[in-house]
Amino acid sequence: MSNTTKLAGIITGILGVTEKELRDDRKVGEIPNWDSFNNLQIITSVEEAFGVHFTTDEIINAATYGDVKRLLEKHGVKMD
Amino acid sequence: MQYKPPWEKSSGQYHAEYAKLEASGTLEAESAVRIAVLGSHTLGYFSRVLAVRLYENGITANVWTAPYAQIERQISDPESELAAYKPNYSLFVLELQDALGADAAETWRKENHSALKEHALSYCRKLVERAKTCGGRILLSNFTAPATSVYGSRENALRGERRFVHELNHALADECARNGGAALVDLDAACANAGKLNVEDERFRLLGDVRLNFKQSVQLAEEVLGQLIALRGAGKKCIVLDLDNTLWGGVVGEDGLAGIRLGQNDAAGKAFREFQKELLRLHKRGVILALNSRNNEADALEAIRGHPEMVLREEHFAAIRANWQDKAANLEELAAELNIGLDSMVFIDDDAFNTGLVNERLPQVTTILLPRDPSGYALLVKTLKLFDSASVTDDDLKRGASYAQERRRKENEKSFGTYEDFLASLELKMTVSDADDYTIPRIAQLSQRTNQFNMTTRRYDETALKKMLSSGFSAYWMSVEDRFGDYGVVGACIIRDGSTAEIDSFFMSCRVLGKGIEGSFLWKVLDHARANGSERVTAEAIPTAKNKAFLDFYAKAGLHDEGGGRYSTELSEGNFNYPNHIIFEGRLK
Repeated sequence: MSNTTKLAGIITGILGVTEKELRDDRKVGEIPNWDSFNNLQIITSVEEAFGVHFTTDEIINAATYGDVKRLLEKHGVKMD
Repeated sequence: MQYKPPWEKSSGQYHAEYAKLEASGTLEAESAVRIAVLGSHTLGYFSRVLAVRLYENGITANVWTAPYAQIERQISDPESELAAYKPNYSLFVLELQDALGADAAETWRKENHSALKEHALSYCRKLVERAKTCGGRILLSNFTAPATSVYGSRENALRGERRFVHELNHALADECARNGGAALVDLDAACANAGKLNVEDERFRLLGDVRLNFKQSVQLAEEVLGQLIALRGAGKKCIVLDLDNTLWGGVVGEDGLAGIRLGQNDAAGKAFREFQKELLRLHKRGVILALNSRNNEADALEAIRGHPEMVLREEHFAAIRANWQDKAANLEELAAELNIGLDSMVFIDDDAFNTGLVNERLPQVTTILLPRDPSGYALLVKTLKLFDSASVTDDDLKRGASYAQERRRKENEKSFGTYEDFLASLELKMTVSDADDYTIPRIAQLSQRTNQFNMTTRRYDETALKKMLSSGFSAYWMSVEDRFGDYGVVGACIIRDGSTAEIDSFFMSCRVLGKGIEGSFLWKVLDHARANGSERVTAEAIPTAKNKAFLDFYAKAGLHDEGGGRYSTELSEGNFNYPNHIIFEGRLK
């Protein structure tokens, strides 16, 4: 499984949405169910799944789905 | 039903399972237990973990999280969401600042301890009083002692905040135990078990006011699970154990007595021995142990009797099945022999085939598949909440021994020609008296735990019983002893006094049935009612899935069957022929 698929799987599982809701340029607040509560859940799960650790500012600044992918790449996770 | 250790699932798995439960509508069922969770920080995540954890332990719960930081409003406003939710349980996850205000830590000096403690306790008292008006039972957390202290390693000498919280928690626990108004949930133990010093948690606290991290949420859910099992009287009664690679390492039939690993200078051997020690501790607090092993009985007994490092011996097992029949069939036999329900049994085995077979054939039984490494056995047993009960009575402490006595009774029975001769040989002594502070916990326990010989299956805890005793009801208990040993308090009758006395509840442990005891007990209570001026008595028998065998008890005991499960007798006409083989003692003799 590619890391992109893995990431999408985690997020759609938590939000209960289909993958087509996840577009790189879409603000996370506009993706259904992506509220602050689920946001923390997503961060915990993504950190768990990829073995990474984000700083508080990185979490605040991840505004779009594409930002989340770029953040993972910054932490050495190849998003193919 | 397969037991799952709470630490096996990741945070994402809890979330996914909750989403599945929610989507299936299971949690909206009419029969779901309704639990409200209230606190001054973000608890939505914890609530989901709780719902999943309860569900996988057989409790379908609808868990509702009150809006953020609304404890006050929810319990004071009769129109609040909490009042409308009609909870069966309300869980308050408190923080010190709820009780003392945000500035408490600023004024932290040991001179203030007793005043602050009284302030916090009074906050809790008022909270419980007001929360009660919303209905349901109250589950009250204690306070989390901080991981760090401004006094550093001098904290204990200088008595700072941590010491204060420990003292406050002790006082709160005493108060909850004394008043019975709320069941205390050990939040501090949960947080400590999960670990309190996690720098990554600081991010979530700052970003979303999340103060319980994932592991702490899991541990807190575990504490709540244990409390619910205890409050609902749903604690398991019996552990059924495999032998090979469960109580010792290796296969005794092949490796021989000298070849199995147990104790001695061997890390794995020590792990098996420690596992046995934990089981013995459970046995001593009232859990029945039994064996279910694929072995020649002679091989099994040789090891149990002869191995110098065995902790558990024959006398600790209420029943033994060492044979080549399948383990599900053995479990059914054990349940019948011990007179307990399959749903109160926990089956422990190292072989996934056996636990799988039992899950499939007898889903009522809770199965535990041991981890591959025996070093985890003892800890797994220590963390189980499955045996939690509201109280531990003297009778619990005696239960293990009493099953061994029962085995000897049965052997004795075979040596008598007639059943009457056998009864006469027992030297049965029966004590009947009225309930007092000492016996109420045991009566409550029997009310919660007896299923088969329970005529109305109304469940009362200690608080409810005490309330009834001060409002027109009387309760009587009965204990039985014979020459093999003491059964302890094994039955109770709750009656509404009056010129027509009404039997509200009548229940007995099945261990003592069949010796003429049940009818004698009933009539000792009725004779007493008559002496106190009652002219007539009524009773009812309410059928459940489990008490069918005893529904005709009142008719057999000489009461008139009025139909519809109702019975009565005029006390002027009724007289009971007490059997000769029983010696009566106690206030109602």
